[in-house]
Amino acid sequence: MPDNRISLGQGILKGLALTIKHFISRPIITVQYPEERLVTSRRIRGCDLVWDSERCTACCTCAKSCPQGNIHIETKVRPDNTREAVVFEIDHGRSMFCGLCVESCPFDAIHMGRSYERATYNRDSLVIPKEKLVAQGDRQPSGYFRPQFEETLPPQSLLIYGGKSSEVKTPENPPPQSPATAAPVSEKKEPAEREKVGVK
Amino acid sequence: MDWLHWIIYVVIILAFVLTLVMSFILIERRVVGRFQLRLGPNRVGPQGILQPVADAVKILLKEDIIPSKVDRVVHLLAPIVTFAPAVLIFAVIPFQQAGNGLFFDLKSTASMVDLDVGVLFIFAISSISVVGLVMAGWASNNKYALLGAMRTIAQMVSYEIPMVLAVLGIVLIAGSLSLADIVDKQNIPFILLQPLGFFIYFLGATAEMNRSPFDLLEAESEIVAGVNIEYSGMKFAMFFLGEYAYALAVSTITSVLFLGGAKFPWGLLPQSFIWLLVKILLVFFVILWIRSTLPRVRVDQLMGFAWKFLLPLSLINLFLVAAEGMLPSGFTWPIVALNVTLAVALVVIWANRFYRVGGAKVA
Amino acid sequence: MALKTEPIVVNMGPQHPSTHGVFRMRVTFDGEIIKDLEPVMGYLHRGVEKLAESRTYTQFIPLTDRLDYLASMTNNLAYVLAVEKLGNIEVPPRAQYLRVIMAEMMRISSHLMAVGFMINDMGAFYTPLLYMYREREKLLDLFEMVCGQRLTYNYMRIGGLSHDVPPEFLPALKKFVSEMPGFIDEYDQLLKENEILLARTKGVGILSKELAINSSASGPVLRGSGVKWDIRKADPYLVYDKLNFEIPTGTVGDIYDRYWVRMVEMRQSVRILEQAIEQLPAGEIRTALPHLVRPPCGEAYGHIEAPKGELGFYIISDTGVAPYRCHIRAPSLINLTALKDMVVGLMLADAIITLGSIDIVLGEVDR
Repeated sequence: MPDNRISLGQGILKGLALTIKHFISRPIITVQYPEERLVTSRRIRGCDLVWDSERCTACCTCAKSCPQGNIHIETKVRPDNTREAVVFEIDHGRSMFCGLCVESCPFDAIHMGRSYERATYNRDSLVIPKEKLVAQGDRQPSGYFRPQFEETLPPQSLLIYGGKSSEVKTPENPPPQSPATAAPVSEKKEPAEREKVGVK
Repeated sequence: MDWLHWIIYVVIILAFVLTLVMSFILIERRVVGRFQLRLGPNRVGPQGILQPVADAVKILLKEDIIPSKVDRVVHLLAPIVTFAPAVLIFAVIPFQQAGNGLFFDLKSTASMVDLDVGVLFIFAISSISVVGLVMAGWASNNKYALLGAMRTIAQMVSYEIPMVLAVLGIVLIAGSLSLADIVDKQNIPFILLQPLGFFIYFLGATAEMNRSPFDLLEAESEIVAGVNIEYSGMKFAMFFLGEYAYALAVSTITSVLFLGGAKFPWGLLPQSFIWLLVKILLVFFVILWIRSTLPRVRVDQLMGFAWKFLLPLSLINLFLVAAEGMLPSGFTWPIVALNVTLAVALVVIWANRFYRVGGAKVA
Repeated sequence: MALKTEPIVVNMGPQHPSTHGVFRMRVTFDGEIIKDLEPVMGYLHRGVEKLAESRTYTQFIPLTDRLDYLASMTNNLAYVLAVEKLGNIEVPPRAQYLRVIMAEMMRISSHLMAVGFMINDMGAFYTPLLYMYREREKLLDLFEMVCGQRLTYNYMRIGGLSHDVPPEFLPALKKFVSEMPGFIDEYDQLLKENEILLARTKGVGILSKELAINSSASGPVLRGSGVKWDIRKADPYLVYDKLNFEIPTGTVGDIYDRYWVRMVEMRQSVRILEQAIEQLPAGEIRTALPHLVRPPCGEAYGHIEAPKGELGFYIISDTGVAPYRCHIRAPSLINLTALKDMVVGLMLADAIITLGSIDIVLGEVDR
């Protein structure tokens, strides 16, 4: 039951004590974004699809599984009776990044991307043709529904560990060193402090 | 000579007010940010110190919108009427006392005019700003603005009374209405002699300058921005500056009346305006601390708090000060102890009583 | 001489900062006293129920994320439970436990937002809200680890889940579960006895027990009014019958009771999480199903205790690949219908926090 004690101002004083405690002794929890970046999940359903033209058989399963109908494919039969995607376009402006296309692809030919910075100045540039869809630059496949990639990616940094990596450290499984892991996660975060808070 | 004095002090006061208001805006955002475990603005300039400048430039370049159905003259006049009194208050603030200082010695008090009725002047002037707010609320021809204006009148008028009564205690002890005299008399800061008076004054002043938890005038979550709602560009900036200038004024008056102004406590170090500045920032920090902790009270609770809690306490306080004034001098420390005890006891007892008689409800 | 007065009508919203989205209240005031209130909804109507009829059963799952976007996981869960009921699909035990874990994490996250924004409507300058965000971010991190997104998870699948959790998920969750009670204590220290909060919330926005039942309210709004009704107990789904937890109920039905119920429910969710982690079995996480699910002809109503109340999906199948009809019982909408009865006679500021205490999400109200 909620209690019904008469209050004489002690509740306000308690609150003031808590805020001044935070002011003095708690670490800043925000991440200074453009300079500091947390490592995203290995399974991130990031802002781009990555398409593998070698593996794609132009079966159009991804286009059929898309709830929005965003994937536009036109195919052609090659002389050896296989198919080839002549047009493979994705309208990212309408995509909701549900990942169902990646999930449905029987040949692992399409992957979710890892990047999350894809702002553009006009809508036309959100429609991405097949030349730009292949893995290049920062357009790299994520581990979503692709366990073979997931193992190679750097572990996610978790705020619950104060922004540190989430890797389970076992002797035979040292955390992979990659530039992204080494990317700064602010050093202000003190895990010891966090543990002290939780135990009550 | 007089003219020179006035010109110099006009420049000093404007510089003082504008720089401190600018830095208050930054300090507020950084300090509240720290309270909330974030950094606050830190992008413009080193550690974000140029943020107020960037804000000012942005707001100056904004389109100056005058809605078609407003009362144009009153609408345009309102920001000025709000801002000007906040600056006028500083005319009587003694920045440093006559005599030996830490850095330089003064022949007379460092204030624009050392009025004999300084305290009266401050309260008279500061009530003018409510007129500006009401003008803005009425002229904007907006329902939220009107609600905000109604709240403003009720709030400002109610809180003026306990606030002035609390300051009367100071005037009784010091025996003068002149701020320079009041500072002179503070061999120990008056906050120790007048803890209850300080409590009442501080709460009243918080309400007067529309700070949380009494920020009903703006109440972003209820009436959007109250009287500011139809203002944009530089007119809004005037309101904004006025609000902060008033916060600065309240911090300054509190420092002067209760914390010993430019004096170092107990005279351990020579007096200097530096101490005044430190005290101003300290008071402002407390205001921010309260702001970042407490939710807002409701309008009827606000009125109930003024009339049922602060007003009776301020009358009791005045009576106690008058009674203590009849004691022979020389009992400073026993009186301090007595007053602190009495203040705590009275607040607790009255809070209890306040709750029993229906709390803040106005029936 | 009596002054002539007249009521003023204020349109609060759809751009008002405290209407939690694009909700609009047409309020008639006498001074600051509310004489009448008329909710106007539909600004965020997207026709989700109709969209369901042109999507396959699987393709509709991401759209359920967009209903109550502060608790996407439970929306997924309610929908897939309804489809599984329709198609008599068995779910492996590991998937059932993981679903419970996700649902309870979501409940903590959603209640943090509900309480935080209510206090914010009350005028606290973002501080309690940001302290609550701190914990919510940790949960969102965990969700991101599991399914790759932080807001629209699309994690549940018909017959199970899309992924198993990665190995580093459970240690992190255990750490969260051990820390969270301490943080809830902090929120209590900041808010529970705060006199201003008590004065603002006690006896304000009362929803009586009878009216709460009659208006079909559910969730913390109903339990705040003192009705011990929780679908996790009343009609246990998944593995809730194997877990120990209590249902907090208020006494008066005012805003404070709703706030209090939410705070206690967070503690209970932590308890459920502890037990679920302990009992979590190994094994499959998804039943093998054809790519296109075609449930047999019929209808089913699957309901769960979402953070905001009873969330139900009523689905009719005509053996096609898409539902013939899909109706969503959105708790926010139904809780909102009692708003007028709660606030008439109170003041403007009370209406705002009453709305905050109902905890609406417009994505769900307007659908």
